[in-house]
Amino acid sequence: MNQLPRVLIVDDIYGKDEWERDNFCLRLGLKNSFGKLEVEEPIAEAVFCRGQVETNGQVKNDLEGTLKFIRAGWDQYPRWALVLLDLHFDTGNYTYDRDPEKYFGLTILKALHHSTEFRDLPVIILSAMERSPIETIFSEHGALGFVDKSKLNKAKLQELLFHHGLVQPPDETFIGRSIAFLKCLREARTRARIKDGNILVLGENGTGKELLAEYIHWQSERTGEYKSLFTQGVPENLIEDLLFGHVKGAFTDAKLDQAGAAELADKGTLFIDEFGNIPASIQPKLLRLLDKRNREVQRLGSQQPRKLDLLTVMATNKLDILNSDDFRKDLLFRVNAANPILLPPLRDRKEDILLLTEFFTGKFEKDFNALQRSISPEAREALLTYHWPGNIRELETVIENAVYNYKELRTLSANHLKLERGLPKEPVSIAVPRETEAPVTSASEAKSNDFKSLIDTLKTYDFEHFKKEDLKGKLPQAQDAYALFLARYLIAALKATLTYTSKKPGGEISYHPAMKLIANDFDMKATPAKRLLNNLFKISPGAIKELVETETILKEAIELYGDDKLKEDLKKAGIN
Amino acid sequence: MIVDWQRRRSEFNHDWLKNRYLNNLDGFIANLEMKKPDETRLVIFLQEYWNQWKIHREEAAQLIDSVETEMSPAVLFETGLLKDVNPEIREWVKPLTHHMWLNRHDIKNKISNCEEWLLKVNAQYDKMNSMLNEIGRNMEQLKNLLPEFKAFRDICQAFSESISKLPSEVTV
Repeated sequence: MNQLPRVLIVDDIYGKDEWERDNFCLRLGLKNSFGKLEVEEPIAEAVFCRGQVETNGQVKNDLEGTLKFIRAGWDQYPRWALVLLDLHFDTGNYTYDRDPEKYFGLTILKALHHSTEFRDLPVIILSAMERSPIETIFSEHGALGFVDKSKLNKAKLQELLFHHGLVQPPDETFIGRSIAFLKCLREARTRARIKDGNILVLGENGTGKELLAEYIHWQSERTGEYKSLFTQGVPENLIEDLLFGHVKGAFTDAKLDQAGAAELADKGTLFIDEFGNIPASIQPKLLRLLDKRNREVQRLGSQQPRKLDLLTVMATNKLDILNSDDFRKDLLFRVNAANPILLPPLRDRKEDILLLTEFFTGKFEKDFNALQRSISPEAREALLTYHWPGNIRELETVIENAVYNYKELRTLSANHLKLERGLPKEPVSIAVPRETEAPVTSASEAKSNDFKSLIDTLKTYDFEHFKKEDLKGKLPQAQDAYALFLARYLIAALKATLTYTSKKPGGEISYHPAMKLIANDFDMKATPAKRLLNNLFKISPGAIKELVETETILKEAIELYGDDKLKEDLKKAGIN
Repeated sequence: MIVDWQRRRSEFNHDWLKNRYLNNLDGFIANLEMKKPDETRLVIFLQEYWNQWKIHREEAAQLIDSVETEMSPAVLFETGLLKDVNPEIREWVKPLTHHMWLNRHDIKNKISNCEEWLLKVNAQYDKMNSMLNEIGRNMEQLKNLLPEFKAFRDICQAFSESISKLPSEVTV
């Protein structure tokens, strides 16, 4: 059983006053993680943050402390599933506190929104204040909604968690707590509630597409059954029969009337696996089945159409299905192929690898009556650095073999893991919705192209037609921009080279690999790497002030690896 | 410019009613609905919080009574931007401005809506006070009053919403 989702409430009153806080927990069905209050059948665990500090009776809003608090819970498990953020924080300065433009809640929201580390943090405004004066401001700064304090109740909170929360499933059917995975689940359950929907799931082999389809069915609250159809290796005529059914005499062996999977799933969910393999001859018939307004099937040999009420989920590993010539375009539109649910590959779920490993190890120890074992640090390292082309299925097999072959051992070591060493596969392009016929690229490929073009632009930028006046005083701005650009580049490299361990599941900074990466010099020694890191900031230390304040990774890198000169320069620029 | 009426409304509707009273009332109702309610909390609520309505009902009534005089743009002729307007012009423009404001923002209806809800809150509160006096601290009988508490809560919520609909700023 997974832990309850954790909800953070940033509110001056509930953060301070225990009686009010407990009443808030009672009415919303929240378990107060630091209180004694007993709440029956809690739906989530609540953590409160006042957002203020009080010294000698004087109350001050505390942005830095609040962000630190939010960060601490965002970097540990279970992460904040949802943040409920108050707007008005009372410091006793009536005019200032109640000026909608200056609400401290908006200051917090803006700081979260401008920081990449909180990009995925789901924030809902919870306030008793009027929403109209700040309607545009809060939605522009990433808030997912606004709830009137007096109208929030248990059911509403459940709804918010359902639609916006990053929530782990309550059982072990699904294992994972990485943001990529939780976002995928959120997308899936939200789409599941769309009436009569058609959902396309894209994912590499072994990512768990079938499990996701089942999850969608549970979340849909549909009354009918979940039926699946697997098309892999099934002859063309049999696919049609399995899907649509037949009437007696439709073909030689049709001795009785037989409903197909679509009919059997009426009022429930139909899952079609390997949808990308559906033969061209069946596609026109599928069009009618996938027509949300008028779903129909006709059994083979029958002229009688049957109306159905279905949620359909189709899955494929053909990630570029939108560009496939094997598919009718109208069919792709009908399955909403431009807006699929993307199941992340295991290599993008690094935080889940050890969790899954522990789960599979325990499972196979039981299955094979093997000794319970721990996982050695080297084995963990090997599991975390491997690229997992076969995804979870491959991990499961690797662990199964490791446990089966070494039943009597108490440690799972790196040499028990039969991992296919070699270069990672090229990333697969993912189709994105678009109007033109331009070549489809993945998001990372597109970014990389942008980067190249930016470098080219800088190299060839022509000041020829600039007037003297236009050239005046641009150097500081250019230096600032360059400094920011390099700092962001470094942040990206530091993030890309984070080391994930069980002690630091959120990732640990390793500046040396980051420097090697940006310099493309994999033999670079530690000293020149450190020098390079320090030089990056020297162009215009003042320009990166805001980034250092909002990007923990950058701040941490400077604290750990910055030399005295750099720290002094940054101090002079007002960065502590 | 934040006028005194806005401050009073914020203190009543935002600070007290929504943030405190309704929160406590909701907590009390949720507690009472539990299979094993926390009786100490129930008693504390009834002793220390329930009767706060008695103190604040006057404040609510005054707030409604004063909105027309304090939030009308006519006040701008007394202390605001229009205080230097020629007295002859002021004599007819001021009442005209007030009249236009009443009509344009449907003020009279909004006020009468607030008054109606306030009457309902008071009536339900008085009715429940009599009931509470009858049952004393009998927990079983207190549970029987759950629908009444919920009705009171809903009426308070509707009253709060009617107060929110009153003007937020002094404007023509």
